[in-house]
Amino acid sequence: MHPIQTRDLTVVYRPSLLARSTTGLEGLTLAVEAGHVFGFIGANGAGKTTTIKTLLGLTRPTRGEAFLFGISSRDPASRREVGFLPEAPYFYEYLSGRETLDFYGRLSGMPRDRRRRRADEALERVGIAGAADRAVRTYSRGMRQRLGLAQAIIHGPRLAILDEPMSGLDPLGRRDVRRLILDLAREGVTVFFSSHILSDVEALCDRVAVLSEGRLVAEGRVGELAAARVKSVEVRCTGLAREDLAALGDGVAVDEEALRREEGVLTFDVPDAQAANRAAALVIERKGAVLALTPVKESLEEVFGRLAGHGPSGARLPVRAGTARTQTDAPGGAADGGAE
Amino acid sequence: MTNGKKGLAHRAAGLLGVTTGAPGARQALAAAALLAVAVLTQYPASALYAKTTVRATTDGSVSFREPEDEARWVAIQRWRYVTYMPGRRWLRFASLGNDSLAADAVWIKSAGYVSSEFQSSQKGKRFEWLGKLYAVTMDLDPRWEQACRLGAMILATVGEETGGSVDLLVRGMSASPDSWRLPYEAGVTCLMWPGHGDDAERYFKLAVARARAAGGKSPPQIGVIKQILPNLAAEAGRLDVAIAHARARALDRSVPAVQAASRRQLREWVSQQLEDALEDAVGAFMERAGRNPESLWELRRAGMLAAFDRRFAQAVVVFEDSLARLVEIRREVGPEAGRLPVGSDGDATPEALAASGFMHRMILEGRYAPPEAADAYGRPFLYHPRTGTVRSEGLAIVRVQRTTAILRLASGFFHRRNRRFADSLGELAEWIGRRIAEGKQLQLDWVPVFEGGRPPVHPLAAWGEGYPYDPATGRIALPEKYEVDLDVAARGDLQK
Amino acid sequence: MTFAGIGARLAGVRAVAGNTFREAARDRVLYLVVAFGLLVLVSGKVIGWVSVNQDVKIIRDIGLASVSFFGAMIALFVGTGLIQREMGGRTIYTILARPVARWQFVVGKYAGLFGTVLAATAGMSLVFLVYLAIMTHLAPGETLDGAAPPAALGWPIVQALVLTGFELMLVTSLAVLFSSVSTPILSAVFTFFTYVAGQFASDVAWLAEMAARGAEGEPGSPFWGAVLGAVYRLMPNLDLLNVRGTAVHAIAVPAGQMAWTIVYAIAYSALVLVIACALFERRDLP
Repeated sequence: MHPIQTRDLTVVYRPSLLARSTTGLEGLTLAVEAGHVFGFIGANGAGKTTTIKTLLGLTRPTRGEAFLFGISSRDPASRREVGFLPEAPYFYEYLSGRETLDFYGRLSGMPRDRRRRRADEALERVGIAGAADRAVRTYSRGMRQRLGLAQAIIHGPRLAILDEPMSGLDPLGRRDVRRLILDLAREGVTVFFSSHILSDVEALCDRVAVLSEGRLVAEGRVGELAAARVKSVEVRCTGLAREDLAALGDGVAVDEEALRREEGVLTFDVPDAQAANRAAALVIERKGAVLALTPVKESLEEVFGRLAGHGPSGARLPVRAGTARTQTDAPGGAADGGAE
Repeated sequence: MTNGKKGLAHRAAGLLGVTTGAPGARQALAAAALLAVAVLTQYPASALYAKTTVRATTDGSVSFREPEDEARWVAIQRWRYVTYMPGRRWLRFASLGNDSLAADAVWIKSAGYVSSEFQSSQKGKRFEWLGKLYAVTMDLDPRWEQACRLGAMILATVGEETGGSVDLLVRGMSASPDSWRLPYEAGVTCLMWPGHGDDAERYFKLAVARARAAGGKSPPQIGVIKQILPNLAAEAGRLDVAIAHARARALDRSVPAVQAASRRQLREWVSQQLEDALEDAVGAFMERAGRNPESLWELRRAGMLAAFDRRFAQAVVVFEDSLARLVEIRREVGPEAGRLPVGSDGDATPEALAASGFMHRMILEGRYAPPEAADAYGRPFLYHPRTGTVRSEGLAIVRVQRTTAILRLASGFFHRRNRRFADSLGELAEWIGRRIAEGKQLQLDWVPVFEGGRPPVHPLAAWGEGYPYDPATGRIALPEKYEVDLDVAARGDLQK
Repeated sequence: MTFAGIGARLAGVRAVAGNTFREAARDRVLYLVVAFGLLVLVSGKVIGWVSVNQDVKIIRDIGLASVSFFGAMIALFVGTGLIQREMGGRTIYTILARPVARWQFVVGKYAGLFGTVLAATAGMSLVFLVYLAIMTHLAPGETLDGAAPPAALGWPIVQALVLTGFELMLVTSLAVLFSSVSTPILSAVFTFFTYVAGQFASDVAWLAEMAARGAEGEPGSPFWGAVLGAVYRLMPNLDLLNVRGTAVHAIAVPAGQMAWTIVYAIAYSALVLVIACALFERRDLP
């Protein structure tokens, strides 16, 4: 039984009788395998949060169904083994961290001893055990996020749904969350999270789904999605000089920075595998050494940009910059590198 | 199927629980069941609430004096002088349904109104709104006895609105069926109000009935009422009722003062009753024979007193056989008996004998016990053939004594107020009468004497007697023959 | 439906209720309203002093009216803010993401809110009763001619306070209903309107009668009479729970009437809650 399964899930918003309706989600059919870490990406307004809210029964779908562990999302029982971290979670300010966890534990029907024990464990695990007895009012953004994670796992769920778990965290925090997600995955918990940070998605997820303007535009293994195209092959070698590259023809790009960094090592890109072969032959010919031949695949960001950046409406959507590499001919708006 | 009518229908169906499955249907069912329970329990709850809230009497024991008074009360409710005096519904609304609290507010307002109106110079229009203020107070909190009584008191005295005062009390009476004080106050108010003795009696009776129904110790006011009631009945002409009361109390030895007072009342009323009956008989004779009888004897000879005899154990006149006995005694007594007037047949007539006091003296000396006494004082009845007037001598004496005393007091009062004596009894009577009508003179016993502002009529006016008034000294003389102490035992006590 | 199931359901409700109670107890508005209520309560003595000899009655009137009115104001101000704050603050997401049904949330909120209202009202009632006892002891008053004043701490006053408690149960359920479906200001307005309108149910009945019978020369209309009659039967009859007018005169309510009225209040409150749950269930959270 899949932890998450949707069938033609459609959500249409009609704020008032007079306003035009807007489609939040259309025809989403998805299935998440147990034990996977599943990433959910899309631009703002693509329908990620709508999907999550529908899965959790916070919103009713206009059409279609969603199931958690085979139970309809409308049934509160479907959420028994589910932990949820909303984007920018809100808590009761006057409760302490421990009391907050106790409250949520009660809501999950945990008996008192187990509640106490697991609260301590969760606080420890997310790293705010020291502030457990302070009022949430005094917590920083990062601490709240950790507390949110704690409440999502306190009852030992089999499925964790996290909406932008990295938001508001500093790099250390992000690292901790990443580690936590991996730990959960290792424990057999299915993790379903949505994120803007594509590098995290790339690094953590087994599978990924891409949403654009309410529709699912791609779904599959990260590798599969990005593996579609090998854009170029990177060659690292010694024994060649820049001038020699002219012999390989067009489409060769030199990594200037790498050249500066390492003396004597030339790093350059060639368009495809044949060109790589020729380059290798050239290196050997010049009595150099081929240090590395690495196919450069389309990054997830580029996939994303391709799939979601130009949505069906044709608008260019902003994308968070995540890679350090500058591409000269990357499609989409990656070159903009605009921060959100 | 995303927007438009289909979406709406889907939503509506969902709301009714038709398409979204079990939970919705369950909720609808639960809602319907609860609605049914709520509506069903509302019926008995509201019915019982109405009964507790509006506890008006339905047995008709309480009623306004006249139908017009009820109409007037209803009319009071209709006026809409919102700026100055908001109506009952507006006040209910402003107090959010706390009627009792709104009544408090109006009551406080009325207190302020009374004190401010005292300074008002518009003589005729003073306290114009007072009745309406109290009426609204009563409507908002009909059970507020204290406000009702105080308000009625203020209305009657300061507000000079006796009718409104009684109306207020009637309203309070009907809402508080347990209260005897309110009908008592109403009775007292009507007592002070000339011409409303009937109403006073009615309310007093209600007060007594309620006090009895409440059980427990009878309050002193109820005792007072029980004494007043017979007087009221007598004043209203229902002498049998009055006599029955007085007889009962005359036999009650627990309070000697009450017993003595009741005996006095008894003698008066019995005599009055006999007097009335005799005058009726005279009238019947007149109808039959076309003229007045020449004497009470003629009445007897005409057989018109047979029913009378049956009805009244104390018959009036001296009868022929007892006349013979009297004549016999006179012969015995001889010349010391004094000169007796002699009738046309050369012998003493019963009237002459009675008028001379001879009979009375003989009775007192125990030498003559007529089979039936004269009036309850043992005095004869005086008959005036031309006018057909019958008067009980004892009653006449008592009345003259009492009236003379009152006249003397009134004359002195007049002298004090006006620094001179009245020119005549007529002027005195007119002055006093006006004061009574304005409610300034409140002595109960003066009211019948100066009724209508006319001087009192002497009981024996048919015989040409009157109250001799001397304008120079303001004195009313009492002829010697009236200086008799008639406070003797009644016939039944003669043997004691 | 096993016992464990019922326990689980109730656990959810209890958790929400407890939390609501704590949150309400921290609401400054609550203490403001209570303070104001107490102030008005003790002002009864001052106002009574102004009137003629009627101190104790006015104290009773003001006291009873205050308990009812300010209790309702607590339900209104604290209650309408509560649910909307929850939704606006989005704490509700994490709660409903638990295996907590929507109805459990609503009922929990109601229980917490009613608990608060009850606690505050009980406090005010206690102060009122003590104050009344003191005042009556110090100034018997009301003796125009030796008439005994009605007992100050009589059963009727307690009855009036008990029924006020049930009145507030109804008002609280209305507050929860309205705040589940509209903005704080609107729900406050609706709740206040229903509270006021409910006090005048008997006037609606009177109107129905007038409409059916016709008045002042105009013919009656049985249709409108029936419509108004139905409105009367279906609207919350808060005036049934208002026995203050008779309680100040020490007139007790018969047990039968108490019983019927209490059942009515409970049934109607439950009805309103069921509707609130149903509406909330169908609501999409933003």
